[in-house]
Amino acid sequence: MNDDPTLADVRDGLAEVRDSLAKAHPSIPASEIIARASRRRTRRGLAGAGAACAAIGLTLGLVLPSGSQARPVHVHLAAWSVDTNPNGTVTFNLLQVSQPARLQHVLAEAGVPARVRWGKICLARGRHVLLSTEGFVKFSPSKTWKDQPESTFAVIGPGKIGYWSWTINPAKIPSGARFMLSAVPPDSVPRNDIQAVWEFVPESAPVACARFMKS
Amino acid sequence: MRVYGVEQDRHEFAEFYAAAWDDCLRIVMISVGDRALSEDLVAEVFTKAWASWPKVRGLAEPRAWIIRSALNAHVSWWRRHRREVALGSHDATATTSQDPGLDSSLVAALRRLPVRQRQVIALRLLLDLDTATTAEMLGMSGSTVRSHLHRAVAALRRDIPARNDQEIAQ
Repeated sequence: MNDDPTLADVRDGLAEVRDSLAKAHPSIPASEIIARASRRRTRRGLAGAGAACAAIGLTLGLVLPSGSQARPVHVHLAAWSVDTNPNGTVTFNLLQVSQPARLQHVLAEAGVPARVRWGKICLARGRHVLLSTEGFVKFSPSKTWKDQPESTFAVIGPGKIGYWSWTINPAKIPSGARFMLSAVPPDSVPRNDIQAVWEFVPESAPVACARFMKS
Repeated sequence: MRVYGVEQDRHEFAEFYAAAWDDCLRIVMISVGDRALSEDLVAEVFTKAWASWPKVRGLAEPRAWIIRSALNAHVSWWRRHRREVALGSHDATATTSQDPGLDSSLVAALRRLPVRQRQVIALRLLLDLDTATTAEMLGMSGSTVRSHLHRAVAALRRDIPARNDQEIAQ
């Protein structure tokens, strides 16, 4: 049997139907599609992280620290400051990543789980692990960009961070998630490499650190 | 200084979404038969596409991934809802569209085909992909694509006697 005439007939017939359908535009904007995926990813990531934490806790008989152990913090350095506000939110201002271990400790005391690294850029492997910060983080870089992503921000190439400021509600940070903040000295950064970056990811996400990392 | 690559990904995805949505919806509608359900399926699949964007954007034909996934999602949807369907063919019950073209005998015959044959028809004839790309997108060999296409066209030929007669008359 030779299908070719029928094939052409079917192709033409279906093409006619396709072209006859009323042209439409997406009823859901792309931003909403992206937001849906982020919300779904957050739920799945946290469910997985929660299950993993529960398993570890059961195995080791440990009680993991929670956000309820946060206490008011007021630490001011030239490079950064962390302040607990009367309404429970935390204001974190960053000019330079200095004394990273202390910064990480102070943030933890304020109820903000974070991993801070100076001298290497650290990123969770795979962009899919980014979690939504919608509703509990307000991030304000000194220089703003249109349509700024909600869960990550980076400075590329030589230059200064400028002035980064976060207002974070620790009570709303999902358990099993943390901020990752890392930077390298600006003078030595090649043109297209990352100089400083933060992102919000599951604690269980694998992390890769390197002195130089392409954007 | 510039914003990190996630923002670039969002921009790329938004462009792809705007450019591909209408094509994908039309093809899914032909196979599914209902505009509202097709829009839901396509939206769901675009959401999955964004979640796997690094993978999807690297494919030979991302639109084909959307269409294939939407048709698979339709099968899953039907499996979940089949108890709610009063009579035999889910395809027959789904033709409630406001688009007259979707009620043609050719489209009705297409909807009676097995899903793999419908996927091959959608990618080969409606998206106009070649056999190799269709095979890659559907995860089957080229000969399997040709076989599905042959069977699908044979079934459509049987189901559309009027068109067949017209063809013979030429």
